[in-house]
Amino acid sequence: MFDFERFRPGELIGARDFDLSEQALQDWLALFPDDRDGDLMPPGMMAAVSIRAYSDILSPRPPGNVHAAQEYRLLRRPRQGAQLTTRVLCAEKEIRKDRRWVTFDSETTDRESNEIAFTGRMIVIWAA
Amino acid sequence: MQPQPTQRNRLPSELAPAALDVNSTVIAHYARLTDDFNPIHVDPDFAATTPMGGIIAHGMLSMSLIWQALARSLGQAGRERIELKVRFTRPVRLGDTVTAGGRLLPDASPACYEVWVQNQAGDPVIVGTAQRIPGGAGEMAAK
Repeated sequence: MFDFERFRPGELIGARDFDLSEQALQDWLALFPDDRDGDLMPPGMMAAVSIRAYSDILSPRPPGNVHAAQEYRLLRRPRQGAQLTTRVLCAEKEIRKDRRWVTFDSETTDRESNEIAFTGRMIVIWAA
Repeated sequence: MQPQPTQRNRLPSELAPAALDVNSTVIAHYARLTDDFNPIHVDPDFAATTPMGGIIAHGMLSMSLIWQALARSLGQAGRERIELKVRFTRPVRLGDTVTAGGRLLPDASPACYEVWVQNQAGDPVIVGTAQRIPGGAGEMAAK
């Protein structure tokens, strides 16, 4: 279980791969058809990539966590067929007003070009 | 450096809205897309026992509407080299209709939009900012 005590600010927690397959793109567009933009990944799909990595790496988590804030920096959109790797690290943690706040940073890289496609910052009120 | 008046003048003062009806089909689809099956989103029996008192949607589901509003209003410039920062201020519940929008901040340099997602009552569920990341081709510009 990933509890609050386990996090070390600055520590890499893990990395996960995501293939931006035609199927992955079509699954997204089935819900958000207006997002179609050729073979380029819709910006909203950053969430699918980063949350998948976060959920898979930080498992199991205590029930009752609250997603308080989110940031993304979209640098270059991957194209269909891109193989992405997302690294997730603990950036900060603090106890404020009796709540446990944890900040996670993520960085998603296109493995072919080795360039950063986008970064994310997720702030969570951790339950335990 | 202050943006050139012509650049700022080309930007819409408000973002075109993007809306979504949040139902169980939409939430289940988004759970599969993100592999986020937290029971607060998908298990009505569990969700009823929580302080939320029922199912709430993924915050990022509503956040995706902000990207749509940016794209509708700014074209490719709304899809490239953007920094989006948001806070989730209220839960979105089954049956809600959420709508994203934004307003160009008058004195920000570089250009910056105040962005939000509201529910059908007009209550903000997400608030934040969207800003062009310097570098790349051109500044934030209307499509």
